[in-house]
Amino acid sequence: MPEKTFIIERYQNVLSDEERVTLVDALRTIRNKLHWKPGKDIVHLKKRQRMKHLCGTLADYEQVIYDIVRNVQNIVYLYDFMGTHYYAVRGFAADNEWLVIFGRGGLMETAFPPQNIDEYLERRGFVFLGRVEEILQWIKKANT
Amino acid sequence: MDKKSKHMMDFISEAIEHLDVSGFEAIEILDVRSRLASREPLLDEPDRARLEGLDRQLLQMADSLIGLISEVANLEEMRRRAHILPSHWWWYLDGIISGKRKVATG
Repeated sequence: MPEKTFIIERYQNVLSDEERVTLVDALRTIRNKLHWKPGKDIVHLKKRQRMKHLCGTLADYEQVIYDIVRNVQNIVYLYDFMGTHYYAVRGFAADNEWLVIFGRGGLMETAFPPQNIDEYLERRGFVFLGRVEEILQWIKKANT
Repeated sequence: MDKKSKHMMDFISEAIEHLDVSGFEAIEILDVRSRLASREPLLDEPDRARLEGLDRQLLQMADSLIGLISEVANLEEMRRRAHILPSHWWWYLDGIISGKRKVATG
């Protein structure tokens, strides 16, 4: 078995079959259409503008998020807080490295460019899962 | 003030004003405050005064900050994971709040 495949399957085993399906569903959903918590989209946008992370409209902000979650080479992480799973995709857009964090069903939690993304992920305990393209194949593999 | 310290102080100042997004962002304020702590000896008097002002704001906003963070993280676990120094009091706002409540209820 090639080493790379072994590593992917090892991380895959962090999640149960059901949890993997939930993750893939969330990833597919957010790649297709963003869902914000009620009224939160503008609140997030205003913060991004004030923090000078981007200037522009909500559509521009959402495009940044789409650019990150739709790039199949970007890395996906898992964050577990007392059994509630959040997923994160990191990637470059609008001159920054962003972290898009979302939950079950692809519900947006936040998308922001941490000051030091490696330190942020390490200190919070985010677990590396694999590239977007690899995660999306989990279900394909399971269905074959 | 050196550019990095100014950037960090600007970050904390703006982030405190926009707490209502996500605990994942609120917790970064504590990270940045810790990074700023290592630069404190480089700060001149006006900069120290500005930092003291930001720290006062952090204390005033402690309830909201801790409330938001506790939606997505266990602060005690975060302290342990990040090997937080006891001198970095902003990581212990949960204890400070609970101490204040105990004093208030006598």
